[in-house]
Formats: sequence, C-alpha cells, structure tokens
Amino acid sequence: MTENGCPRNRPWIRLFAVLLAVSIVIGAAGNSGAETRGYVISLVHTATYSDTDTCPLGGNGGPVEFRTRRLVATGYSETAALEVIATGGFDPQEDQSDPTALFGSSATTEDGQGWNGYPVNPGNLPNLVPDPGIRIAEGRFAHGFNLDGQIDPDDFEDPVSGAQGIDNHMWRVLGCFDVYRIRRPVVPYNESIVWDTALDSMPAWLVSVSGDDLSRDGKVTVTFDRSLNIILRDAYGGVLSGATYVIDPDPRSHSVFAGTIQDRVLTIEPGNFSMQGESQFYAILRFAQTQLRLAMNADGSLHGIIGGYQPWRDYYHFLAIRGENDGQVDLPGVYYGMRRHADGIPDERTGENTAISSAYWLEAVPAFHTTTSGEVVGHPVGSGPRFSGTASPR
Amino acid sequence: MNTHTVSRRTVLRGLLGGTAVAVGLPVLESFLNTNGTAYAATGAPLPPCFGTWFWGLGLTPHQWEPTTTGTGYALPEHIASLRPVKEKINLFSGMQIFLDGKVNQNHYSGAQGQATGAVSRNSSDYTTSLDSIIADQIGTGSRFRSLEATCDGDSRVGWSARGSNGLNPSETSPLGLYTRIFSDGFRDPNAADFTPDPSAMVRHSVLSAVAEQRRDLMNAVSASDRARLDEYFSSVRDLEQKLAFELEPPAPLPSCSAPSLPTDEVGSLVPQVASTHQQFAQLMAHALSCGQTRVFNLALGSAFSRLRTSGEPSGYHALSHEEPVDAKLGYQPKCKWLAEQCMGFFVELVQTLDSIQEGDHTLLDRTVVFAFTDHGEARMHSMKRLPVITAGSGGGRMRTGHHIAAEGDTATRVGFTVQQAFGVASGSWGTESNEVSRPFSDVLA
Amino acid sequence: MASKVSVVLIVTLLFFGVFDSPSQADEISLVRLTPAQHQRAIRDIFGKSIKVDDNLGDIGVREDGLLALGARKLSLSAASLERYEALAQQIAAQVTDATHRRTLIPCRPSDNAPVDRACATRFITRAGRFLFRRPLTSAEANAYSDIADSAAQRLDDFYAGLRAALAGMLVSPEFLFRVEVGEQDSSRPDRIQLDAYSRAARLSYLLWDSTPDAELLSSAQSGLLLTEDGLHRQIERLLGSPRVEDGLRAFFSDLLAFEGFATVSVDPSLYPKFTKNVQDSAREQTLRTLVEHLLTNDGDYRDLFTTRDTFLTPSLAALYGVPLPRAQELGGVVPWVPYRFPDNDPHVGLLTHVSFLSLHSHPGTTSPTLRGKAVRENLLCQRVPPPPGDIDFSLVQDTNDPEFKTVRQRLTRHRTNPTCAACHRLTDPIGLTLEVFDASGVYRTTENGEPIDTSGSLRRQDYTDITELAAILKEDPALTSCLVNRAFSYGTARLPADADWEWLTTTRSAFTDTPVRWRDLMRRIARNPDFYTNIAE
Repeated sequence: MTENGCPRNRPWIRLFAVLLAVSIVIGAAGNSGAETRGYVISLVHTATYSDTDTCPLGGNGGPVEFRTRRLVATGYSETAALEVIATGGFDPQEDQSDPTALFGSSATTEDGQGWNGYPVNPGNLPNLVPDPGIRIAEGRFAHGFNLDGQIDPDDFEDPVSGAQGIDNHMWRVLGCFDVYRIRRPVVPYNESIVWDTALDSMPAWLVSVSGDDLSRDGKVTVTFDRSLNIILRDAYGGVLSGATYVIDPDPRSHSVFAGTIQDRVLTIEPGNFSMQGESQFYAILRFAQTQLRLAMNADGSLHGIIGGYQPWRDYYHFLAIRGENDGQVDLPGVYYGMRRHADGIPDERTGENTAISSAYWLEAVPAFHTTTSGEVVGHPVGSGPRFSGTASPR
Repeated sequence: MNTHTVSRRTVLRGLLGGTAVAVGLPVLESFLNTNGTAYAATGAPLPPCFGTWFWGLGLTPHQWEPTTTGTGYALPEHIASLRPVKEKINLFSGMQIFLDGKVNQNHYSGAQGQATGAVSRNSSDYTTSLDSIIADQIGTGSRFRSLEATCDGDSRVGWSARGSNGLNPSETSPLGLYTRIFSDGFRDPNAADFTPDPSAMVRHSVLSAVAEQRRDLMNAVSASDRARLDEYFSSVRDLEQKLAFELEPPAPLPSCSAPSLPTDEVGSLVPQVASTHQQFAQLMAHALSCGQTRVFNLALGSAFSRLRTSGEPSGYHALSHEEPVDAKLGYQPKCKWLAEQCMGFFVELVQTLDSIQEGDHTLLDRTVVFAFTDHGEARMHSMKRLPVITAGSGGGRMRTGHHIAAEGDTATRVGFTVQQAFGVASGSWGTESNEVSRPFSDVLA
Repeated sequence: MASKVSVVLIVTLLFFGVFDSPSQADEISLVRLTPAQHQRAIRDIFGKSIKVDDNLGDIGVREDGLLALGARKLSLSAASLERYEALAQQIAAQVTDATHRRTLIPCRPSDNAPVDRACATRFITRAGRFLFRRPLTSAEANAYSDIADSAAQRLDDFYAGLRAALAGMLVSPEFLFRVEVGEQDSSRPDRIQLDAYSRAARLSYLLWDSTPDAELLSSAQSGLLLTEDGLHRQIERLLGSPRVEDGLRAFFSDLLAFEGFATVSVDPSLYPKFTKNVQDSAREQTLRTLVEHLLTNDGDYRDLFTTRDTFLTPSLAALYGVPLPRAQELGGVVPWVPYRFPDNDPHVGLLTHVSFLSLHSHPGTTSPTLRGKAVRENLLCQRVPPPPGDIDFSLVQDTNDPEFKTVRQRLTRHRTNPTCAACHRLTDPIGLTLEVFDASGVYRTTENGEPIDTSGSLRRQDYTDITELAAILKEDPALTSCLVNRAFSYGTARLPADADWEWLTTTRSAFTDTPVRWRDLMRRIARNPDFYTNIAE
C-alpha cells in the first residue's frame, strides 16, 4: 500500500496500457452486428448515495458552514463571521472585503481578488492555503465498481447490484458536503443546473448498442460518440425520444467497449472512455478502467451507472470553474481530499496518483444515429420514457 | 356636501407599461348620499348594470333542483357552493327551450334560445341577444357598449350579438382586456383634473366624417347587406361614443379603482380557467364600478367545454358522453365534480361584484347577472330542465333569494323578466314556442 | 371643446352636399376582409416594414364549409371595429413617421406649414386608390383632404393631418369590406355583372389573397380587364407570380379548417412528443407540402392523398418516427427538410399528416367520428347530419371496460344501432382506419395491448389499411368535384346557382382524364365569365 492507502501503481500502468491497446483495436473495428440501437444521453451526474451511516462524525455542511469555519480560523468570532458571509465578503466593521477567505463565486480574478497582494484565487491554486481537513464519507453503500479487483475493508457495497469491493474514492471526498448528501432522484444542485443549461447548447452525447439480437442476452458492442447536433426537448422540457443525431467523426469522443446483456442489464469489459463536452461542468469526461451497468427498460431507455478512474484534476477543475457559491463545496478542502484519496494511474515521475475512482449516474433515451453522409446507423427502439433529463424519477 | 372640499389629490399615479394609470383611493362617503345610492353632487342614482355568465354542460340532473320554492328554500348538496350568495340570487328550474321541429344543434340551440329568444335552423342566423337589448336600454352613456370575454382561450365563444349577424368576439386575454379598458384612453373618474386628449378629438371627428360619408352606400346595397351596413354604422357610432366619452370629464365614481395588472395563463385546465376567470371577474367588476361599461358578457368557455384536470385524457365535454353513470350513485362522478367547479366560479364572480362597496350597498346590488347554460342534461343533449340563475337586484329592480320552479315553461321567460326589470318597453320576447309575454312577477319589484 | 367638435362635424357635413353617389342602378354587395387579408393589404400597399399586430380575434363564421362564405354574411361588431380602429391608428402612425414618410408620402409640405392641401390630396388619392381598390371620387378625395387639413391645423402638424385622414380610410367600410359593385344583367335578370374594379378585386383575392396591385387596377381602369384578352393576360400574370402561393395557402387553410389550430388541444403531458414546435409546425408542414406539390411541381391534387413526399422539422420527424439528419441550426431557426417516407411506411398522403390528425382529435384521445366527419365534409363535400337530441350515450360502452379495449370495439353501437348507424357509417369506418395514429399523430399498432383493426370499406370497396384507403379515396370523383365547387364558392364568396352548377359539372367532367392541376383549375375559374357575377336577390 502506498502512503495514500491505495495499491501499488505498477500493475495498473501495464493493465492500462493493455486495455488501451485493446480499445484501440475494437475502436478501429467500429460497430458490428445485425442490430444497432441508438440512444442520446439525457442525464449525467455524480452518483450519490447518502445514508445514515455516511457521515458518522457529521457533515461538512455547505458554504455558510465552511466559510464560517474559515473566517473563525482567521480570528473572527462566529457572529462576525456570519455577518461577513451575509454581505458576500464585505466586512462592515473593518470596512474591507476579504475575498480570499470566501473565494467568491468563480475562479476568475477580474476584480483583482488578491492573496497576499497577488491577483490569484485560491480556488485556482488551492495549495496556497493549508488543508482545512474535511470529513470524508464512510458507510456501507456507495454506487460504483470494483476497479482494482480486490475487496478491501474500506471498499463499499453497491446498493443496486449488491456487488462488493466497490472503489469510489471520489464519493469519500464529496459525500459529506450538503449538496451531495442526497440520493436519486435528486440531482446535485450544481450539476443539475449546468447539465440542464448545457443541454441546449452542447453537442449531444450518444451511445449505441449493437449485437445480433438485442432483445435477448448475449454479447454486444457498446459505442460512445459525440454528435454534431444539439439535443431536442420534448413537451415536458425533458429530452425528446426518437430524434435524429449525426455522429461527430472526431475520434476524441469515440469510445468502444465489448459488452454483455444479461437479464436486461448491460455491462462492459473495462476500457478507456473519453467524451468532450461544451459546458463548464463537462468540458471533458474521461475514465480509465471504465465500467458501466445500465438497465435496458421496456420503454427503450437506459439508466444506471458508469465509472472508472477519472483524472481527479478534471473534476476539481469543474468545481473550481463554478466556484464555491454554485459548487457549494470547500474548494481547497476538496483539492486536498482528492489528492489524498486518489487511487489510480500514478504519475510516472512523482508516483502520485493522478486518478480517483468515481461513478456517475447515466440515463439515455432512444434516438436515430446517422453518419455525416446521412446513412442511418442506429435506430430507436421503444417510445422513450415520459420523464427524462433532470426530471427523471428513476 | 360639497365634493370639492375634499382633497382630490389623493390619487396615486403609477407607470404600467409606459402608460400612466391613475388609481383613485376610496373616498366614499363624501361623494355619495347617505345610503350610497346617488352622487352627492348631482343626486343622480348610480346607474344599473347587467351581465351574462355562461357555462357549458349544465349541472348534474336530479341533483340540483331544490324541493321547495319561494324564499327560504334549502340548497341541495350539488350547489351548496351557492350558500354564501343565496340571498342575493334567484334560482329557476323546470324550464326548457322548444325546438318546434328544428334540428337540435347540440350545445348550441339551448343557449341560443335563452340568449336571443329564438332557435334558428342555421347557426349563421344568430340574432340580437338579450344583453344587446338591455345595453340599448342602459348602456348608451358609457365608454364601451358592452364587454365580452371568455376564459378558455377561444375568441369565437360567446352569445352576445347585435343585428342579424356579427357575434361579438370575446377577449381571451385578461391582459388584453386590461389594456383595452385601463390603459389607452382610460379617464379616471376621480381624477383631480381632466384635459381632453386632442388626438382623441381628432379621431372622434374622423369617425363622424367616415360615417357620414357613405350613407349613400346604404341606398345602393341589397336588402340583406343594408342590415349589415347598418350594423357596421352602429359599430361606428359605438366607437364614436367611446371616444366622446373619453373627451368628457367623467362623473366621479368613488368605488372606482383600477385593478392590478393581470397575468395571462390561458388554457383549459381547471386551475388555468380558475385563474383566468378570477382575473376577468375582477376586470369586469372594476370596469363597471369605473363607469367604463354597463354591460358585460363573461363565458367560462365553449359549450363544448374543454375544462379538464391535468393528466385526464378527456375534457368535460367528452366525459359528459363517455363517463358511465355510476350504478350506485346514479350520476357521472367526474362530470358532477366539474359542474361543481363551474358553480364555484359563478360564486366567485358574484362575490367579486359584491366586494365592491358603494356606500351601504355593493356593486352587485345595482347589477343583475344572468347565468345560463346549454343543456339540462348534457349527456343526452337534452334541453329540458335547464338551470338558470340570476344574481343581484339591479338597484332594487329585482327581488332576490327565490327559487322558482316553472315546470314546462320556456326558459326565455327569465330573460324577458330581466328585460322588464330594466324597463325595456316590449310586451313580449322570443319566437314560436319560446315566445313569452308574462314575466316572473315574484322576482320583479 | 364640444363646440369645436361639432364645428368640425358641421363643416364636414356641409361638404357632402355634392358628391358622386353610386347610381340607383348599381347593385352593391359586401364581403368582409379576413384578418389575414387585412394584414396582407397593408403589407402590399405600404410595405413589409409596417408592423401590424396580428390576432384580431374575429375569424368569422364557417358557412357551408368555408369561412369565405361566412364573410358575405358578417358585419363588424363594435369590438371588432374598435380593434380595427386601434390598428388603423398604429398603421397610420408608422406610415407617416420620419422613416417611412420619405418613401411612402410622395411630397413634402411647402413652407413647413401644417396645412398643405395639394400634398395631402396627392397622398390621399394615391393611397386611397389601393385601399379602396378603385380611384377615389372627387368628393371622397375632398372629404379626406378636409379631414387632413383640419386635423393638421388642430394638432399643428402636417403629418398628423395625414395620419388622421389615413386612419379614416382604414376604418371606412370601403376598405374593411370588399364592396362589389355591379349592374343587373339585362339578358339574365338573376345575375349581377360586376364592374371592372370589382372584377379586379375578385381575381386578385382568388389568386393572391390580396388587394389588386397597380397593374391590375390600371387594367380595370382602362377597361382592358373587361376584354377577354386583357383578362387572360392578367390571369396569366397573376398565376405566374410567386404570390400565387399566398392565394393557395389561404384557400387550403380555409378548406381544411386550419383556423382550428388556434385552439387545438392535444395534451402534451399525455403526448410528450407533441411539443410546441410540432404544434406550430404541423400546419406549416401541410401547407408546404401543398405548395410544393401543386405549385412547384404542378402536380395532381388527387395525388396529395397518396404522396409520400413532404417536409419535416427535426421535432416533427421524431413524432413521425423517422430519421432526419440535419445540419445543426442555430438561433432558433426551424429547418425544413424535404422528406420522402419509405415505401412501407404507413404515412401516406394528407390524411396521415399531424395537422389533420391532431386537429380532429380530443385532448387525450382520438376521435374516429371527428376524423371521418372531416374527410366527408371538408374533402368530399358530403354533409353529415348532427346527432338527434335526447340520445342516451351510456349505450356507448364504458372506456374502462376490459371487454372493449379498442375504440372500434367501443363504437360498436354506432354501427349496430340503426338510429346511430345512419350517420356513423359515413364517418366511423374512415376514422377507425386512422386509429393507427393517436391524437398527436404518432403511429401505433396496438391499443391497450389489442391490435388495431384498420380494415373497412369506402364506396363499396373493401380495404385493409390506410394505404389502400388512400388509393380508393383518390379515385373518388367527389374529391375532385368538392375541390372545384369549393374553389368556385371561395372565389365568389357565394354558393353556386343555376348556370354555375352546369359549369361546375362540365369542369369536373373535364378533370376525369386530366390531372387536377391547381393553376389549371384557377385558370378555368378565373376565365369563366360567370365568376364575375353575383346573384340578384
């Protein structure tokens, strides 16, 4: 075990390299099989599972709580701290604002938010401030996958599949902040707003499943792509089923996996996943050792989880861009927490883990896929769910 | 009492959409005589008002007719919502509209009969309606001859017409009606000063010139077109009247105040209709109390009512035919509920009028509202046993609190009674079997 | 100020001692302008940049299957006139504003004085000719010039004077109605021959749904329009213009009762694919299809019921269940993509368009009776009698009864009870075949788990599905005769009479072996001398 409590790195580099090679081979082959069902992804967000035993020592609270702690640590009384927070960083007594303590609403420094006189925001450079020491999530359950193949005492159990040895260190880091102490169908506030807004201007994310007969159990190929088109809404404001999406030929968002359907549940062999987005929160979503577990519903939709080792700086970047007002987490606390609990893909030079085990909730509704020349390569099957997107009740 | 001794600067001016609207504060007693029935300055009585209220698909048969007649009758459970206004309304039962062999135009003939006194073969032969007759009697001094609105978004809904053609279109948007009454050209009756708008004067004189211009056209058109042109020139006269009204300083009306700016959420779902109806009721009440009109026509919606609860596949009209009669209860439960919603809306209108205080009395007291529907039993398209309700006493012209069971009578008898109350000089109303010459004297003062 | 008003009144009245009145021999009839025609007239006379609020609210009344026929029966209620007057003020204000006056007003007031009668009269006569669809009489010109002068004086602004005069013209019955002037035909006392200007208006409204343009007015003025050659030339000119699309759209919107879209009520909570975009696009899809087929491709009207060609938007495509690859549109632009349904696809012809299916449905369920009735009344000109009173509808089965899963089963009574069957056998079979399309137009093969039976018979020919029904319908001669009759009635705004019926019969016989082409039909109607007549009362 390394000092951060995760297994040795070396086997993972090798495994990663092998899997990378394998996925490239499959990727070159593309989709095959007699039937290809097309889907457009209607919802993605961090998979949360808050339970009574998740934060036995109490939670980290929200912006009011951790900002109060921060200001108290710099010498304010609690009442005075609350006053400063209420005015958005302006201290009425001292007649000056202390944005470095509050980190404002975004990571930009246009107002010259200073630190030690320098125009930087510790949200962007969190290692300029000491580790505040956040509480991490514990407990029995968390969504995710067994990525390292081992069942360790601090691993979780997946509440849906019952699988043991679940590695989800991202959940450990985030799970005791108020905004993440929720469960389906609630979506983390920050992610919900960004996803819903991004949908209307972001090229859609697609997934397709192909095989000989997808109504039965068997081997399949699962392919992810980005589209050239933006998603269409239905009359409820959810995602319209049966719409048509042209596949973006750009390989940077193209990921292919060997998969299996068993009892109407879709899983894949581990591989690399990479998807570009156009929104603040999903500028890029990528995993190594990707696994997924999606239910194939009677109405034609998919829902479940996808996860793997995600470069933790990707996720931290998303949070820092949104800032503490919208992200509602203690940015330096999360930074240090992620560094400490990162458990995958060690850096070759420093040996420090660059990736953290994570899991995301994913839903998709039926759609047509076409190539840029108009050839239909994926068909929708099923009329789609009545409620989709952030309103999904699953 | 001298009105000018009271400070009249108590007027709030606000900007609504760029238009200045004055809102008069209630300075009641100093303007009215002691019982609130006349202007102190002139001694002229506050003018009576009239309105119609239409709802589609009637009530649940056998569930609404009280067992006793006269005053002091008990309200059956189905119309229990009328209890708060029972003493100010009259309920009529047992009446029908006669077809005299003509085709029963479903959801039409019954309402046409009650609104115009006649049932026609073609829907294009719709004649002068009851409210038009009364407007001729009492409505010639106000800015708008009458105002029409409907709560279901369809401007073709309505039963008000003048002449041989020209069903008055109905406002569907509360905001639109608000703008029409209280934005352009609204002159606050309680304003401290009044300056006639010169462009309104120009518009008025232009209309007069236009009207005079083609009088000769009348001589040349065919007979049927003459009636239409006459109708057109009547409309021009109404418009002139409206502009002339805006050019004169209005008589003070202390109970006048502009309503709040409405929001539009028009649709056929029950909550949407509720919101729209509430806003229209407010607008009509304020229009009456501010002297902008004396006659209004408010329809809850089309006789083919699309009133619906969200998620329910069928609207009220479809339900009235498709919902089975519950064997134990003896009626259609969903339809009964919807009918009760309609009665709730009627009560809301009545109470809205009743909430505007004018001295010792209320606006409702000097108004008569005539509420009617298309069928006595919607499921069977029956025009027997029609429910008819009047509300208000029209300034003492009608008595209230009665239930009258007029078995077998034509329902036009109620409309005729109302006309008599307003002093319309006519010995009868209606055609063929729907003709009446005897009013309900029990409810006439 | 009351005295000032009356002075104006007296002055204007005095002027009306002498002016041309129509001769007693003239027969005059009025046809009311529709809101769309009103807007288009303003657009064509004053230009597209003049904004006119739409939604005047008074769509009119449908008479014998057409709004156009109702237009000859209607007058203007006070509320409608009030709206038109407000619009008139709006329009006049724009026409005389600083930007537009440079192009729309042909002169400037001299000496910057508020009153310049010569310039006012110039504008009034020019605008009036187009607005009234004929030259103004000298008395009219004087009257309006008087209005302009006195208003300009009162408001101390020349353009305010023009504004008043123009607003007056815009509420005149000569503008708001098409005033059809004619003379009784000496050889046929039941006919009134319309004068040249009235003919120009009738022709222009038939083909372009708008007010006659300068060339048409000139040909009326010179009398050329009264000659066969002159008339034919104008017909060809109008038919050859892209504006003929306006006329086609207006006619079919009336024929297919598209004004119902204002209140179409398919509940989106039950049909999530019926988005607002679909609701707005459904009507346009059908109209585009009609334009493409009848104008661009000069196709046969009957083929519209079997054609698989149409135009779709991405949302419509999702509702129809077909793929529609698209370049990504930006800025809220709705892209229209030509699309052909595959051969085995059930979407065949106009009856399978979302516009038709959703217009004749209930909010949450289909209505075979309404759909069948629409086919009979709107497309075949066959009248379906209204139901008798005092019918006990509990005979129509409970919608929750597990015995009767499909609408066909529930409507059994319509077919078995002789009182019901007399009328319902006209409507239900067609509608029941269309049951494969739900209230929002989405295709389905089962209802409550039970397969939908699409068989039926029309004109004693049996069919198994919508494709076969469409093929039978296409061959029905009533389809053609209904179109011809309705087009004639639409253009004349009256029902055919006597000699007209003979002409209509001849015309539709001519189409038995000839494709029913739109321009051909319009040409035949417009060349028929009786098209320019009214019936004496």
